[in-house]
Amino acid sequence: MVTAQAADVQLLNVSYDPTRELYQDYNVAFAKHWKELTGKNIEIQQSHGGSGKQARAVIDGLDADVVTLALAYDVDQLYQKAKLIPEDWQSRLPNNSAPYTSTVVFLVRAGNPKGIKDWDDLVKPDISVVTPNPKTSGGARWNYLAAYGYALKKLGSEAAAKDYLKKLYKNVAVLDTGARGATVSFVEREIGDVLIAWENEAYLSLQEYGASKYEVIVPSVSILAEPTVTWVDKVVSKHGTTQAAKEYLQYLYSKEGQEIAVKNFYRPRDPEILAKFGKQFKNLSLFTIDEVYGGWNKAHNTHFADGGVFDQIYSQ
Amino acid sequence: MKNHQLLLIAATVGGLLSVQPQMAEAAKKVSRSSKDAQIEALVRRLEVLEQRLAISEGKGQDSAAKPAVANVAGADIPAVKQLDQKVKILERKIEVSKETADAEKKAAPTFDVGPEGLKWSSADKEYSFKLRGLINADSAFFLDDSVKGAAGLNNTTAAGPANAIPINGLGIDRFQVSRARIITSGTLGKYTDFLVTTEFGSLSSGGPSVFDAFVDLHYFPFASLTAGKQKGPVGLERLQDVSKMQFLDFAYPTQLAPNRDIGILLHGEFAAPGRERKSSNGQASNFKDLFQYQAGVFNGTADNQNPANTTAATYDNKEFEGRIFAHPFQLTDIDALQGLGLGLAGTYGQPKGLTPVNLQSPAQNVIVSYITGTALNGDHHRLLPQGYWYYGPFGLFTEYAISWQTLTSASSTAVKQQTINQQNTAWQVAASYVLTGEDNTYQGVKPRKPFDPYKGDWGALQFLARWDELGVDKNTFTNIGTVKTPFYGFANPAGSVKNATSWTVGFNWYLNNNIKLVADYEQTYFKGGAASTLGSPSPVMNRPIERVFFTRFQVAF
Repeated sequence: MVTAQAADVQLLNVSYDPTRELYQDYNVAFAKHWKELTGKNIEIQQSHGGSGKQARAVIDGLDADVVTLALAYDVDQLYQKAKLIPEDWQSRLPNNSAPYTSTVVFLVRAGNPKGIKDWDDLVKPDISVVTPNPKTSGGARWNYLAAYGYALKKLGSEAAAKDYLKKLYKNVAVLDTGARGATVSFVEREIGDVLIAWENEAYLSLQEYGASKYEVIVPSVSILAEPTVTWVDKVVSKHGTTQAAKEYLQYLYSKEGQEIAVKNFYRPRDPEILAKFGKQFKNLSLFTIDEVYGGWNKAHNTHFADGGVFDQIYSQ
Repeated sequence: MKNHQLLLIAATVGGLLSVQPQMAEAAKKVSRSSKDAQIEALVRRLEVLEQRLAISEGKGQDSAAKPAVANVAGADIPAVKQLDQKVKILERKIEVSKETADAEKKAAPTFDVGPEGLKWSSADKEYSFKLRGLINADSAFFLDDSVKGAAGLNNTTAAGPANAIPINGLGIDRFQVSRARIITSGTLGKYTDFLVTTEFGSLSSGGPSVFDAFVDLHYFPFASLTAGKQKGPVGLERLQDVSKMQFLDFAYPTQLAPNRDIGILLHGEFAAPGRERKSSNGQASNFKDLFQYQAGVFNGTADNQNPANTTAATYDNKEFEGRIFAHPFQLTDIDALQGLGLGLAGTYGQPKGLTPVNLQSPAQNVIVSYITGTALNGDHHRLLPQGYWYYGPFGLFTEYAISWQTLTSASSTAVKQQTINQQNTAWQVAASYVLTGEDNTYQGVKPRKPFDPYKGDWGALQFLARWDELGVDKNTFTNIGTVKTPFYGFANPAGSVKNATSWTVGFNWYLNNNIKLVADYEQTYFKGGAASTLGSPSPVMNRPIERVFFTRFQVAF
């Protein structure tokens, strides 16, 4: 939480678990920017949790001025369930309201003892995989969709892709309920050979637990994870914080905002910043949710709704 | 495999792997327990692995029992590493299962059974459903049955009783279930409560009746809205939860206050500055804070109207009802006066053609009987100052009621209809003391030691005494006929009393929060209400004294 003496404006940013460090850094920078812009002090409070849970909390009355969640699907629930934001919320900010991106990569143990290089390796019989349950974790859905998208491209048919996923989840040692739990399983409990993780989470693990213990493996193909942001119209209107909330999100696209995202291992949207720091991000072929699945709603209904593809392949 | 089995396996094998010196001993203990063949098999496998490990390191059989490997996870033996992974996975799966179970438990609805009935709640407590009940199994015994038909009653002359005394005396000795209620209530979406009370007892006037059916929107504690059939916000005794009423029957002021009616009520509560709110909901019966108000619009009811008969509006004009009540000394630190509550309530309406309801004695004998054709036509308003003072085991309760109403008379071919203004009054003063020392409150008495004779616990015992009186306006007995041929267009003084005074003493024995035994003795004196046959027209006499012993066995949950 960034506090300023006698704050003139207060904002609550309701976000998901892995952005804690990102927004701690960003809030300090934004408070300074806001002071320069308006001469006023601003206090920004952060709330972190599972992306879906956070969206439900806002729907149930948590007064978030802005939401910065993992999935556009979760943000969209604010419109679908409570009309807290307009239907076209995603077109209000550049890049579909996703100011930074990430992708899904592998974290393996030092020396990569099982020689894991791409998605194909994860379905080999002796590989133990750690990834959370996509029924309960937003991050896990990205992992699942990355794997499925790869299989579709590589194997060419839905049936083959489902078969691939079935083999993959058969190799999953522990199906944690959330991304943080999966990291605990892999890093602290030393379970499994590979953790499927967001790129920024994987690098944070290296930073936190020691670069000598793990390696990040970037597969040939993965998904473009686009965490989305928006201000919550009904709340900012009630609080009188519309201007501050908009500026808070728009500043994420600024050079400074983009650099802070890079420092926290998110891929920037700004081409200049990407060029400047691009070396730390390995090149790979990225596909989007829209390209492969026709959007989050469709992906959710096909794969994660009760009786969906995940239920089919995991219960078999 | 069930969690507890996983736990046993993981704990056993994990312990064996990590606690080297105790490993063999622990393994033997587990083996001896023979609780689970699977555990034994795993232990045996582990022992074999340990022996192989020792041999491979050239340490022989002896050292196998005490392996020198500090961390088997780090041992360069694939089989051991594999087993280590299995154990870790098992342990983690147990943790995840527990996390999932805990999360499911948190998200699962809850079901409680307790002194306040059955309650189902959603995990977030924003939705709930309660099922409660009330049974009043009563008895009433008239003490003057032995003199029925005999001289000596005070409405008689030396020649004998003025009116024929009923064969059963002054009232029928009886057992009755006066109240048998099912009360369903709940919360829908945090800010909306509902309550439905269905009466199956003798108060229901025949078949089951809906006594309460309302929805309460309470977004703001200081301004809530209740719509539906509910108690009119007027009588202090009426507003008390019926299971907490101290005497077996209501006093006369409650007969002059409106009963349940259908309408809309705005109400609010305010806690004293700096004090926490103590009332758990917005119901008047539960009010414990500084100040409350109620203001509502209702269809309008006659005095003493049975809620079973309050089902529809009978005229266009509506009745306005309002009340303010405060515990003024909550603004001070005077401990002895914190439980002093004072209030004022009133109603105003202009009923048209509403039939007045007879008034009753404590023993439910009709003591004011309106002539058929009498109707409320015009202004009807009531005023009820009220108050109580509870301090420790002591309680004092008082209420005064005035009911002004405009009555039009019955008529006949011989007499024209007339109109009178009737002003009936009633008051009561009641005192009570909890002999076992528990706090006496408007919300009832909670025994410190619920009845359990095997432990020497007997519940709580309360002594009570009450004086109450009803005064009926003399205009009620206006003769609109002639002296020779009287015609009482409102009420006949030979059948309706102009005054009733009752005193009551009793004991309440609270076995626990749900069961209460009540024993009351009530004696009522009447003025008027009977006639002698010795003159013509019959001179009005006083009704006999009503002496009744009541009991109640109450179950409320």
